Amino acid sequence: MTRRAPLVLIAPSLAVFVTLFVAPFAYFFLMSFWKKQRFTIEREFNLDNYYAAVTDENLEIGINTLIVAVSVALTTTILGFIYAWIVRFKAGNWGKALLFVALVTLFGGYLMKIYAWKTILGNEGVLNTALQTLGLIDEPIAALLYSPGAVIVTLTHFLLPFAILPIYGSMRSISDIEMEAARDLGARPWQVLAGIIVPRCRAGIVTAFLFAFLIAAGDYITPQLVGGKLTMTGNMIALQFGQRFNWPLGAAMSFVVLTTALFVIAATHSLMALWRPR
Amino acid sequence: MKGRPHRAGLFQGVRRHRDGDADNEGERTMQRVRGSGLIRVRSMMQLSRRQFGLGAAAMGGLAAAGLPRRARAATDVTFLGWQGYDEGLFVDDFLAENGISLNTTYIGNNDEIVTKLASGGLGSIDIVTPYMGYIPLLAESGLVQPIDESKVPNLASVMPIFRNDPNISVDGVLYGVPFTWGSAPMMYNPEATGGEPQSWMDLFKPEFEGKVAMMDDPLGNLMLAALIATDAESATDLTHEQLAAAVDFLIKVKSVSRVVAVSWGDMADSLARGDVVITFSGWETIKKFAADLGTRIEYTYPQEGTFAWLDNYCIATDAPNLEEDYLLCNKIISVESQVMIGTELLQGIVSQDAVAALDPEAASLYPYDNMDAFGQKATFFRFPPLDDSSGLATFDDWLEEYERFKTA
Repeated sequence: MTRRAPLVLIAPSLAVFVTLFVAPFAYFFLMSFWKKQRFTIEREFNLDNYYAAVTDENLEIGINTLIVAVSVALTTTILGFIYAWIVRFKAGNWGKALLFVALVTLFGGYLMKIYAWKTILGNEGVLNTALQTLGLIDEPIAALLYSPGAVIVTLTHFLLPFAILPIYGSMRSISDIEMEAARDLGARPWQVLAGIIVPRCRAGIVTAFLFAFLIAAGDYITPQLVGGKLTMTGNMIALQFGQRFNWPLGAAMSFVVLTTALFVIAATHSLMALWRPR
Repeated sequence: MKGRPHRAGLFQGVRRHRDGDADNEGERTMQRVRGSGLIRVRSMMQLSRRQFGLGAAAMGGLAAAGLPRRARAATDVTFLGWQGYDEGLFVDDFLAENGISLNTTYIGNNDEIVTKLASGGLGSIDIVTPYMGYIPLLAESGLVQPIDESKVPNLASVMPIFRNDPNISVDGVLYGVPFTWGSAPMMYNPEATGGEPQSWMDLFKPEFEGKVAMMDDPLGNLMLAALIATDAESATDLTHEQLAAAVDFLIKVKSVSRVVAVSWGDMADSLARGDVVITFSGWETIKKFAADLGTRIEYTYPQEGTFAWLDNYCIATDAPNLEEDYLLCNKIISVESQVMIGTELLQGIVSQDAVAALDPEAASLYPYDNMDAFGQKATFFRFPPLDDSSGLATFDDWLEEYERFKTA
């Protein structure tokens, strides 16, 4: 009974996981090798979809998406780290309140935040109006909205709580004793930060970075609404599944994105593993 | 350990009971919790699993018995169409009186209707609102069902030019209930343009660079581009070269654009906020959307002309709520709904009786008294060819070429 109990206990979750995740995943993998004919799908094995997914315009769009996603992930991780650091070490009793504030923004919802940024960054938005009133600019800055910058800002704002939580979780396990010992031995604050805090939070930092990267890489709603003419890979995949009814190509593009993401995960893990605690 | 008597006591307790698990953080936490007195509360309410189950069932029964009895639960009718196309149904208490609850999803282009129906939507989608050009395609693919005209008596008041449009009937059988029409004018902010633009080529004026909005609509954009930039006689019968030229023109417009909108509401939003001042393609109703947001936006039909469209309520094949769907089809072309959408949404309406009831301001927006003249500025093009038997570019070619515009 003790041997089989775990299996029996996880059987329901396993069933859900297999039917709702593994099975569709496998089906789409199969489909990525098929071909689309008008509004039906022919089950002819071919590699054309993968070829189309990595060449010409899709390649250029993929590189742009990678740049945007990495920028979002870096910004989010750094800001999240600063916030978590403040909550854990500097805020004292206010720490819990700050954490609560970060969590509460999760309730705001994704679209709400996008529209909020549209209001803030637009020509007649809060930011431009404020700058004009202060006399710093004459004409509204058009590049604030409908640009890759707007996409980065919006996605960073949305993903910040998701970055703060894992990093804060890692920071909690850093004992104050170690840091006190380091200070007693003469370490400067930045040495304490670089030598003890950051390496001990490796898991949290990597999680935050990857979470932000993966979501940003696949997103298509934010570029559509605040990106102006920016096209990201997510848009192209959505196009294939929506307007074009070319599910095989869409599936192939998705798996290309997935493979790229796996490389990024591996690279991030290896890089962070190099940063060992003193 | 010295300054913390409580914790010391607890740790000792852990060590005494479980030798190997002293390092288990979870167990330590549990012990701390017990020390705080939580376990005392739990032991007062000794609930075995069986008692809990019985209690829950009793509560459930009480709750169900206490629910207010309704004559009939509201029927959920699924509506997949353009933003604003369901507004006419809310003109009075019609929906509530018939126990209909509308479950809406808005589309950004007509192709979404085809793909959603073809990819598993049949059986769950009731009403779709395609452009008339899509109806032969939908009917041929078995995605929409014929309209039983006896169940839509208001069809009798629909103007002949719309009732008899060749696109909405296939082999003499009606497949859609036409209820609104319009065209693709140029929207502009009169304060920014300093007057009414005369030509579509005005979009390339230096003062509008980076202030143009486009819509992500393959069929509409390509028809308009074909009208302006090619010598094709009919905007939907294009050779492959003409199609390529049309896409090149779209890419040129995109280069001076700031926004490629995902919905008309999005375009109206960006016009109202002053983020763009002029558009390529549009809809008369955007004037109303922008006015609601506080900005005056006007529209005009430039000299090169534009295309016109006729939209319909169609009933999807295997629609789950057929009776309710017919009620909705009949309602949208009733006088009260047509007057409402003609007055408040500035949409073109099809019912002759309703046109007679429009106030002069609303009636002046569309050339109801002289549809021939309108036909000269705006044309109801039929759909591009579906197969390549004529050597012309097929609709599939159109969508494929359009991807070049999307990735530009």
